[in-house]
Amino acid sequence: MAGHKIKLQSNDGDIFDVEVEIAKLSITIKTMLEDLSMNEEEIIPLPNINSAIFKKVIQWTTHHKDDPPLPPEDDENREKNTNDISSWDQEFLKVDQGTLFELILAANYLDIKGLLDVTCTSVANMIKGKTSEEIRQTFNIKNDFTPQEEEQIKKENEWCENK
Amino acid sequence: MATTKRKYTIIAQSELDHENPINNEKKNQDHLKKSKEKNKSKITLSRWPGDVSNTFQRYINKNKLKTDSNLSFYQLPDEIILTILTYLNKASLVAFIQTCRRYRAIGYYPPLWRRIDMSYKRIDSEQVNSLLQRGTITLKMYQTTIEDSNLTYIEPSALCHLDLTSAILSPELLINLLNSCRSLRKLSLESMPLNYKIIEKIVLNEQLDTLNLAMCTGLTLECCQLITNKLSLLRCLNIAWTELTSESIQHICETIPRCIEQLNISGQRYNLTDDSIQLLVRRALRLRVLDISDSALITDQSIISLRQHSRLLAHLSASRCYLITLSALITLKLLPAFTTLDMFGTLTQMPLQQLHNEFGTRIHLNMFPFSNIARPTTGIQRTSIWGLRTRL
Repeated sequence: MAGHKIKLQSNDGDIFDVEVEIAKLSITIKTMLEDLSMNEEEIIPLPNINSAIFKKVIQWTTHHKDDPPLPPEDDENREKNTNDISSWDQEFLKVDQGTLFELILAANYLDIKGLLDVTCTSVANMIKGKTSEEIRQTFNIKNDFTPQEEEQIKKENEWCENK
Repeated sequence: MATTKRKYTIIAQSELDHENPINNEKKNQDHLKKSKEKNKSKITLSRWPGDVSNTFQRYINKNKLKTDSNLSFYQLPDEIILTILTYLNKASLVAFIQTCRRYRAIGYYPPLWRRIDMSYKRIDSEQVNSLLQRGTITLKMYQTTIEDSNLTYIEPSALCHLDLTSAILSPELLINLLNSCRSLRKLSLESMPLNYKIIEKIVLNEQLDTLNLAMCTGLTLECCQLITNKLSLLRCLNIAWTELTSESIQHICETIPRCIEQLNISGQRYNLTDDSIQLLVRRALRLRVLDISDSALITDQSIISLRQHSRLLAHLSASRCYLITLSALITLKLLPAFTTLDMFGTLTQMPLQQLHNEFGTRIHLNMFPFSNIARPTTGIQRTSIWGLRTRL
């Protein structure tokens, strides 16, 4: 079925022809096609995604279309390794924060687990090893704790800081 | 057709990608309209070369040009923040929740705190209470020092697996901590001084299936009675080297929960007798693993009792039980499920070889110098307790 395509429309009106096999990496689209038995000639709207982000998503899914499926999520034995972003993905994710966050939202909306995984890992890596103040600076977070609250939460958690 | 395709690819790469997707939406659309008008063909994005070198180039350029989306971190919904937090270790998670109120609220989501390793740390009871209120289920506090603080009451916790092996804390605080637990399944208090009040709190956890009290002191007959009386679901019990009286041992062997599968009652020197073993094997018909090492009075009679009653016995440790003879040990091969015998320190090379020959390949000899029964951390598994991971 290689080359068989469907039409997807971003929220700014652009229509993309995407190979079914690639589009189906998105569980959201896969469900639309299968469960809702949408006509393949129909244009599927993606109201939450703009063209620029959707292009990046397609680029990612195209590169990863032959990846083996991720092991099923087993919460009890989840061991998340944040060092294993492939070099292709690292390059792919060399974008500004805003774009990275848009990609996360898109991956979440489209339900593309691999992309959500790698983008969230990338953000987690921006947090790792930083102090609270450094994290605030990185993401422009406003500290709204009272001094008392800040001291309280610091005390409650100091046991796991020097690790 | 080929040229058309390349043309769009170039458009996508050189312009659209590099520009602010929000401000340039219009431009973007115009482009597409134009192309549609001209060629009536669609952009074939899916045929972009997947090859890495191209991508490299594209994104290095892109980086320089700095596309800016206006989406900020603070606009990410809670569920996304939560997903990101599952990738953090505890130190980073703790730094993150100290940034602001909203992220503290998200960061206290219980599944993030299910498994905690506090080994070797020095903390106080307030900090323990604060942690337990976040929903910790599996807590390793190997050699943790817990200091008393103003806090005298620890609120009910969800703890299921608690490892306090060699932890340092006052008896009052231990009672307090155990009092917060009603759903413990596995508990280790190895090497701690105990008393009746502590045991009273332990047995409130009727679901307890694994209890490690190895090398604990203070276990009186009354304590033993409580344990065998109340903990009817106990499957693994370690009371090695607990200086029990012969009366206590006899009581345990006589009244041990019938579902017991693994028992370590080693190191009782002159207080564990063939008679006690006789009582034990008649009651504990599900016994699979038994450690009676360092019992000076145990003779072949115990081996005969085991052979007669313990049809499920797979692993026996009887190291340094000097009265047991080779001929009795050989008969263990008649037990259908038997796979492992540990007899360290008793047999010289010759009889050991003889035993090897008798046992063949089914039964292993001298595999485990130390007992694993009910103990949370054994062998090389340093970051888990009872096979459950304690780190994220």
